[in-house]
Amino acid sequence: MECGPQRELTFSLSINVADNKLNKITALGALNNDAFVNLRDSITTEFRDYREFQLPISLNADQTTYIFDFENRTDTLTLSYERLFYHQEGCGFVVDVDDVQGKSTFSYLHVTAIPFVGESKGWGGHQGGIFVSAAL
Amino acid sequence: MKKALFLLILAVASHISFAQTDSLSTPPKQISLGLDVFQSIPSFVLREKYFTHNTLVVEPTLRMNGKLPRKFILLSAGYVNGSTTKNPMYPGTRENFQGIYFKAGFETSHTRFPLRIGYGPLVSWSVYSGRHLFEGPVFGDYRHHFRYNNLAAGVHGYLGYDFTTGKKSFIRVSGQISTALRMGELEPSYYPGMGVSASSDLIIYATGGITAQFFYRIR
Repeated sequence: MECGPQRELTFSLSINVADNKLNKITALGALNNDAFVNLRDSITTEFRDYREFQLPISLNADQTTYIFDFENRTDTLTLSYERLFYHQEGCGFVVDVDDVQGKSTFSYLHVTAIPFVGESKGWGGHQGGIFVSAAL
Repeated sequence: MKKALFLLILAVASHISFAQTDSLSTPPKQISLGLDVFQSIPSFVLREKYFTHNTLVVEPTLRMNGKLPRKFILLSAGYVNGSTTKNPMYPGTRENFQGIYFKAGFETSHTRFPLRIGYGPLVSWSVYSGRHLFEGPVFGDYRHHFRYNNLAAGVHGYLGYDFTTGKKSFIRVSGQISTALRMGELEPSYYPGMGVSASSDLIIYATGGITAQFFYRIR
């Protein structure tokens, strides 16, 4: 049985950057910006104008704000969520989020969240997770 | 499940009260007071190597003779306060626990067999608490505080050997096995009065241990 996450969660971000060059991403409240500084490491897919990242969210707050530093513009994205910490039978403590919402300066933003833990995980072939797509 | 536990508790209660009625109508000739002198030691001496750490177990026992020859009735009450870091459900997390338990034992001694044999009901209640750490390499760790209760009712059986240490005293070395039904949200791995055990939602699987008790005859 898959137990679900037991550490800091991440979300996947797919962003259409058009012809803008992304210099860096930073996050407010990050103790360690390595994950953002080495953007190359966070890029999971690079296809034409699309960039896909796997970025962490804070377990210490109900929202996390990211700053996207492009060559000619700056954008912000704030993900808000309800954190759930509980004991899963046979697994130990797990973490999940509910009611995930996004706010940003992007022209297009869509947030989908499938619970990391429980029945709906794997439903319809989907993995649990937070999926954010955006376009400048 | 709740009904089963209730019936079990009822059965235990009626058994104990009958035993008391008996002892009131025919006062026992002998009463010994015992105290556990072993259960706490490994957790203080072996510390992190042992399953429980700095765990105090106080278990006084009253032992009196029953109506029939070579039959004894034992009543024990226990208090436990300690911690473990070895609950397999959340490894590395320090789980503190406090609990009380009650046991009754119906004991027989044989003329040709040197060991005392006893069995009886037990009830164990405990509160567990701790902080589970979720690692957060980027935004910092998160500590989740948890607290839960467990109630268990079951049976225990034991075999003991009494070493005479004086006119009125003896040291009993015994081995116990026990099993119980339980009610509780999470999965403890240590049950006061029973010891370390795995469990399902409903049943604490058979578990055992050895101990030593010092008895002194007070009447």
